[in-house]
Amino acid sequence: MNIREDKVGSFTLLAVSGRVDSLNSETLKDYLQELGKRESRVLVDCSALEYIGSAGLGALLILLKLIRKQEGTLRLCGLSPRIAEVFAIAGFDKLFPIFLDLDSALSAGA
Amino acid sequence: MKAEGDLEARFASSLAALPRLHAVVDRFCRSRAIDPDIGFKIDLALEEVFTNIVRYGFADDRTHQIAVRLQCDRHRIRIQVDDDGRRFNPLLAPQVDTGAPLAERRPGGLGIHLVRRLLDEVRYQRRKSGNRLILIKRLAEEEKRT
Repeated sequence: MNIREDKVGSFTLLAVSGRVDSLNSETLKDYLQELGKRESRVLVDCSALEYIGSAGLGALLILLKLIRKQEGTLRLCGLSPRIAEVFAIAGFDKLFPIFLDLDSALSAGA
Repeated sequence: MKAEGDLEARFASSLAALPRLHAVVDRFCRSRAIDPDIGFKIDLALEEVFTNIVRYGFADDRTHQIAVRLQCDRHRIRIQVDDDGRRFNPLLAPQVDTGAPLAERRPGGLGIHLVRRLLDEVRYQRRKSGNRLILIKRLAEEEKRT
């Protein structure tokens, strides 16, 4: 797993890539908990995310709660069909605004 | 009796064993030309099952062994996971309401939900020697690579 953070326009862009499993998900959770307290507009780029299990999904859920608490915006983009299916099974497609790619996520309103 | 083509491996009851577990599943799927999308599902489901056993299945701090047996024929993949821990049936965990609003969603409980949905059948057996989980993923003929 790799995490890279950038600024793109009004968004903090977080690219999470590789495999997020039960072994490294604590690292992601710690990162997202800290991020969710200091940033209010976050876009998570999942285009190079190969694998994510329930522990990684839980970390994203914590981030969403933190961002909503400060009435901010969290968007996800670039999910592969496999990852999109995992998100749908978890019901996350109803919780997270999910965009096809980076451009559409950045150009969507508000 | 071990049928030809089965793959059996034993793992220490630690999350540190996960990379090897993934490697074993990957080798099994590649060598049997299993569709990578199916391979992805059984890899994820097996990690969730394994993680659950490591986290909740043992009453002591000793390292235990978890045995994984993978079998595949034209119709299905069968995975058997055995451990010698206390009685632990993950299928009894409360179901996650995936349609609940954000305020009511909690990070826990998603693992076994994913396992049930990614696979076709999940069975639990309590045996003298410990717990056994049997995971089945059916293979449609068109889903197998030719």
